[in-house]
Amino acid sequence: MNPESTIARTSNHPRRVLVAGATWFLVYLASRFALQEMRLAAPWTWVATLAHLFAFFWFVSVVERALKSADELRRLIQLEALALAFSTTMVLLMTLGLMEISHGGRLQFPLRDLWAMLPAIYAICFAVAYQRYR
Amino acid sequence: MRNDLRERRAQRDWSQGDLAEKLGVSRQTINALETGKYSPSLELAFKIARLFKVLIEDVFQP
Repeated sequence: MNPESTIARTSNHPRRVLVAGATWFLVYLASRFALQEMRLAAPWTWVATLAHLFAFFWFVSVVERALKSADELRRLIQLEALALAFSTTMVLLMTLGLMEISHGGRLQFPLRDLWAMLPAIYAICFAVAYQRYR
Repeated sequence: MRNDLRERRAQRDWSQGDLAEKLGVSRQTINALETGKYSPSLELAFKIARLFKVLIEDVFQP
């Protein structure tokens, strides 16, 4: 095994994941802008609504390749981060639901922006899991 | 699980990066193994033992 190729092969994956994730987010923003600000005719609203899915599938394939090249400890860290993030997200959503009930069914928080919490929660949980093995 | 990975590595004058490269894992994995924060899989334990030309029990102790 060529040492250079192993390092080169694995060191680019985080960058690729970030680029794919950023692309997905930018396509989402573009779709949102098109839907909110432009008067799109009927078929184009569907195009704008679904366009980000292509970027999403690319993101998933990049993440899959990154995970395949990860060693056993990194896979364990990812698993722990996902488990922690999933349960944290559940608790947060349950809390938001209860807050909605306590505020008479109206929360000043648009449902369409709820997803933005999830990457942040995952990033925090990944940092926590990563720190355990430092 | 305890191990003497650090000592064996030092005897050969290898850095953590060198050992990681030889085993096909990240430097973080080697550091976590040496500090006892992580126990390797059976496959990795065999790789380590084969690399140092010893038995698994010579490297890892409960």
